Amino acid sequence: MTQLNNGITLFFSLLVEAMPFLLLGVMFSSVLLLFVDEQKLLAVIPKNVVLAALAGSLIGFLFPVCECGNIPVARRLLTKGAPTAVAIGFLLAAPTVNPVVFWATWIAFRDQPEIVFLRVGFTLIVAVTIALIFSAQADVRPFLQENLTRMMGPEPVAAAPAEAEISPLLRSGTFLMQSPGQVLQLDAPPAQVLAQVAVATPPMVTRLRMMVDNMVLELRELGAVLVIGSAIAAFVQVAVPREVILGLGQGPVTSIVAMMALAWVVSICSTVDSFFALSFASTFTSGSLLAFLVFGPMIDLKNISLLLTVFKGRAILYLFVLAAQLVFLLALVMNLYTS
Amino acid sequence: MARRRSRRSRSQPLDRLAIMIIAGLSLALGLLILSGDHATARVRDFTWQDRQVGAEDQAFLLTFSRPMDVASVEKNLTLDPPLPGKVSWAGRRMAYTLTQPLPYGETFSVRLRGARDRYAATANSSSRFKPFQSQFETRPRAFLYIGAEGDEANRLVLADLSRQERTILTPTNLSVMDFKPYPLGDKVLFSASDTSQAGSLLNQQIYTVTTGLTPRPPIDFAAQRPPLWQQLWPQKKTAPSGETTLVLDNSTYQNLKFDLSADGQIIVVQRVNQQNPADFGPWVVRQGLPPQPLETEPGGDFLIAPDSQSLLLLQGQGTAIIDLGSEKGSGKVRGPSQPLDFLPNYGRVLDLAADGSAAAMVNFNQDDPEKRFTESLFLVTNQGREEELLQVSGAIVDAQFDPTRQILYVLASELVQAPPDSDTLQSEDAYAEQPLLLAITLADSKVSPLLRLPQQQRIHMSVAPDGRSLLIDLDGQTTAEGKTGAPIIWNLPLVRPAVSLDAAESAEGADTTSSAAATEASAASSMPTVTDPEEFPFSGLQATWLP
Repeated sequence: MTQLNNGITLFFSLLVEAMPFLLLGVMFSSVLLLFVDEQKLLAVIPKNVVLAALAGSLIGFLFPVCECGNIPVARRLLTKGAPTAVAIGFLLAAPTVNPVVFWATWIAFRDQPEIVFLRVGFTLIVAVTIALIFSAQADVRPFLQENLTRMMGPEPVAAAPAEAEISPLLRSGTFLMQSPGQVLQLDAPPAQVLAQVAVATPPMVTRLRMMVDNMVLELRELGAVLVIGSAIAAFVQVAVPREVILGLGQGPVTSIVAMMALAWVVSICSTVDSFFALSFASTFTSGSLLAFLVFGPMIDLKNISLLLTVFKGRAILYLFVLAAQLVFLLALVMNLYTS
Repeated sequence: MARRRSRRSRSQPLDRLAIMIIAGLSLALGLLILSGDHATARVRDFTWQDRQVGAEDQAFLLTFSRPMDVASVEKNLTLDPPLPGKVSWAGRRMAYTLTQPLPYGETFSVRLRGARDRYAATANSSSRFKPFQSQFETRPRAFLYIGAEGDEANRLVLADLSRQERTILTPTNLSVMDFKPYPLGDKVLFSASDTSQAGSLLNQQIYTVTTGLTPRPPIDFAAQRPPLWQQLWPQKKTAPSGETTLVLDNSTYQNLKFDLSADGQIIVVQRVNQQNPADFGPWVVRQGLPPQPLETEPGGDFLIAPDSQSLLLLQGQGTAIIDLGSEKGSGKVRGPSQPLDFLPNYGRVLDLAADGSAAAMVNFNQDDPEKRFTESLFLVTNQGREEELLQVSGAIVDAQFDPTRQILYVLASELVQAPPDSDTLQSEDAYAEQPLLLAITLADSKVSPLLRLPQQQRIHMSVAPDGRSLLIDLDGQTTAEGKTGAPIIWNLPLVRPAVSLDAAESAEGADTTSSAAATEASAASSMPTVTDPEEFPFSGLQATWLP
């Protein structure tokens, strides 16, 4: 019974903590959809892949969202046609590299200022590296969920010949044939349809109303997923208590493993995780604290369900394993060679 | 559909690259772990590093770069000269809390070598620890007095015992009446009248003057850190000694007694309107704000509590405790019309312990016919305990707490038969007051006289911030012509018999070591004794140790 109570408390605390940020993310995503012209967006993004990845990682400074809020925005970036490097860079770095999190970390770790800067530095290294790996794939569609690929409009011409024989009309739904090969799904949210169809921008009031509609739609979709994710995270925390994870060890190597596992399981929001980590600051190595602070916001148990609305399982596995390994490597170098 | 699926599940460039990199990283991680631990544990931070500490600093912190093997650190940490203290740990932080107040005017070195981190200790491998060496010093042994002779006459003088030099701080035209050093000893608040103006004796103005000492206090780890830009801003150079600044003029109000709060932020001044003597009462001057009258009944003598939040003011027959309020709220001091507390029995507050836990107060015994014409010294604690420590037939002149709050030093007088004096007419049963210096151990209220002082009217006492000596100044012997001699300042070294550190110090640095526990146990009950009082070769009034 106590365990059930604990589980419910954990579940609600995760949900309450994440929901405002999801709302914020959905709001940013809707603003992106209706108020940002993709042509202009694409023109601003550097052509060089490394620079694009770095730019994506730094977008967080414009959209201060945590790891639940960044998924709708990253999804929107992908559908808007932004390069994969930008979207992945944003997805991994934005929860950490943003002013709110920077400030919170600074408040928590004022007497270890290097933690603050290394957190940002390590996050950028990991995010840019993974973004580069993902940009090796020119067309990222095979790794995305199908409902997302549908929103992305036509596939590039290079991939077209084989694709041509499978008409998008073979999928279920209501479609509007615009020109040969240009098919529009009508049962997509109206705002998205409009964004693809409309040549003339609708008046401000209409756009605001559409933005609200889109927010409600996305929130309903992602909110439901978040509820499931939080439930899973709460269940795992009850089944595997924190003490067990921390018991993995406090050595230079084992402490990193323990803190990364803890970050993954507790699924704590990046805006407050530095205060959570602070309670371990006196007993754990700096490297393991950094591993917690860098890895936690990238991938955790709760947002895997949200990620599943964007990526297929295989892509999430790569994201997860690569992020874990890179963070582990950086933290290990720090633990074994510096402090 | 089936064809499409098979095409999609074919390995993509990303699959190949990702798997390659994952394999590569796994290899790198394996190699890295096998290569072993190369890090060197070190001391990251020492709160007293190259700082100047005072009696209010009771503990330093050592922060290590990784969790340490507690036993190896405690065994290898050395302080030279030794300082007894207690060690406590919070993760990677070690706190060393001193059990005795620091002796002033000394330099201490802290050394730690051969310590092991916890990983090395559990694996029983050799230690990799960067040897740590640092030092800190205590504030100089220095005191202030108002000079009496020659160039020093009526001027504030700083006597630095560590450097064996004296510096005159105030200009010749200011005749200093009273003074209070600021908490770090870098400035002194004083009241003085300008002798270049007529009718000046009543026209005290309040000034600050720099002492030329450079305080380098340790960073207070409990307090809010200043913002980053302030930390990076180049530190202001210490002003040379003798820079006088006017704090409060006397244009409309005449300044009487004043007191400075323990944090140096608040000055309370008793002021009276030059035109309207009924307009009389304490004013509060805060750093950077105009003076404000404190809204309360006018009172007499006062003292700011050590927490700098309240004022103990003599009102009527008792002592009122008045809230000084916070500086917030449009800069106006909103003193409540009612005091926080009122202690009706005590007509005088002599001293408050630095932690605010106890006060030495005087009861003039007006209500008790049996004790008429006697004065009683009470210890009043913040727990509400009131304990009579001493009853004298004369007067209780002053009382000051030892910094450890174990001993109260009292200047009191007893009535004695007046010595026969051929020059003046005396009644048969003439009495004189015999001043005494007493020490009272607060644990058991045991009173022991330390010295019998010459029969002088004006005696002033100051206990050193490290509790290791006491300054007494009193008027010189009356000469045959009836003139009072130049006031003499005495330095009375206080030695606590069982405290070997004191013994070591008085035995000119003979190196003795003692365990902290033994020292502590004996210190609580030991009564200090005065050894070899020394008279300074200069004369002055109100000799007061710098904090």
